Amino acid sequence: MNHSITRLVVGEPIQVRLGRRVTQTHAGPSAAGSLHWCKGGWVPSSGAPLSSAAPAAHVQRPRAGAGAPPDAASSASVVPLADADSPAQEPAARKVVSAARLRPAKSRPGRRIGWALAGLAAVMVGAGLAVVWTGGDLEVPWSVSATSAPLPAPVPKPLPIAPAPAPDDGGAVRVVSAPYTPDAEAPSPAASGTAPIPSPAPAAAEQAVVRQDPLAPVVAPAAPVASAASAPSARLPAPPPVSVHAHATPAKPKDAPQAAQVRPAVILDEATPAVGPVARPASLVASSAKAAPSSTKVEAPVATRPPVTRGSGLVAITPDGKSAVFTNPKTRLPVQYKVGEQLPGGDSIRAIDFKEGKVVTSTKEYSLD
Amino acid sequence: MTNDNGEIVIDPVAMNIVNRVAPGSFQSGTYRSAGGLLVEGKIEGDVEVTGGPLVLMPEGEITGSIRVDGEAYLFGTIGALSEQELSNVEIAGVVYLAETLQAKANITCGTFVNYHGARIYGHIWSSPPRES
Repeated sequence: MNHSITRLVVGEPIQVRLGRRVTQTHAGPSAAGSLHWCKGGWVPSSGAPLSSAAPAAHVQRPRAGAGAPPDAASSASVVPLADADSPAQEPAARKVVSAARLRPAKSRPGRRIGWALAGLAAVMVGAGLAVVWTGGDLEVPWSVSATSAPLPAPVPKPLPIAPAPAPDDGGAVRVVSAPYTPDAEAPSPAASGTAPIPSPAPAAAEQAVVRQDPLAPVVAPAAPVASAASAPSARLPAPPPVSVHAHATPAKPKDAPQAAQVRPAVILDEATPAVGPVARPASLVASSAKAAPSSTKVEAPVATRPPVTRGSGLVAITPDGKSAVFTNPKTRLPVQYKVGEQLPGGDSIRAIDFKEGKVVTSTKEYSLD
Repeated sequence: MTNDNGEIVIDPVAMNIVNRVAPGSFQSGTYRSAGGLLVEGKIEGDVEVTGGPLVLMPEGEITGSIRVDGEAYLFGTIGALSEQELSNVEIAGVVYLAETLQAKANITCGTFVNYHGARIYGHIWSSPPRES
């Protein structure tokens, strides 16, 4: 009867949403029955002990690399939490917390072994790379050797330093911009300080030294010559009489007669009699061998071939090649001339070439118009 | 009573809720309920509930002191007595502070269960139930 009245007054059961409950996932170390770290060991909290049979078993100092105490790891720690449905009337529920969560992160042995293996592998890879980079040459100061034997002390190599030229030497290579003077006027080696041509042995030795040590500073080509010049065995009594201008340009055809009158032709890199018996470096010989034909080609025509001026007025040449017809500039009439006769301009005919149609006189060369 | 979804079923018969302030109802002054009380209306004054729970529905509103000897399910609004004085709520058992609760009161209870979203302006004292 009362139920009916209640149903009539209050109504049917109602389902109402409370919401999301505010809870705690972990009760913390101070909860009863849990473990907390104290004085280097896991001890049960001030609440109820985990096990009354062996309370001191949990008080163990974990070794390095070891996990939680075996008892703590095997037996789950129990944290009591209040039940939401019946917190007051029902006994408190117990939530099991995994013992693995209580392990310190440092005490995982697998991770340490992994880091150790990774470090060892890194060291070995580094050593291997060092050996590969150095190509097995352990004399390089920065190379890392995989062996434990100490490296030999690096032997200091003398660097090929070019000595400073002597004050009376005047330099190994002379560049002369002054006009050439004959041999009679050329100064003596003692007076002029012209460096003698070095012997090939010191130069070859210097080049070998340079090739052995690629890290050595690059020495200018003049350095071996200077060092060779400083060697007493390379000194020669006779000086090189010819100064060489490496960038001498060939003379122009028009200036050749004047040059021939002023000074004789200069042959570049020509071996002098004084230097003849002495063996020259291969590089110098090759350069002279290359330079000699070019110089002869340039100088020979300049010295023998006079400049040719072309004249006009040649009209015809007889087929027999004995006479040629020229136009007289005064009368504008054709006049026949033979070899040996004198033209109106004053020059005499020397040769008549019918095939090429040319007439060569003493000063000019005529061709058919 | 509560399930995993955070819901509760209010069964008047099972919970011995015999009184109800229906929606739109207004009660002024002291209200004493012998048995459980379901409030969906508005009450201004003191409320005393014995022999059952107090269920303050979301649309219900109480302004005044509340005394309950059992549990209390608070979904609605508890207003302050004045701007300077909060209401007093004394729950002997467990009080459920639902997500829709808006209370300006000092709550004294045996145990409280809080839910996300509950707005409470005041103190909460929880004391274990007295052992007889």
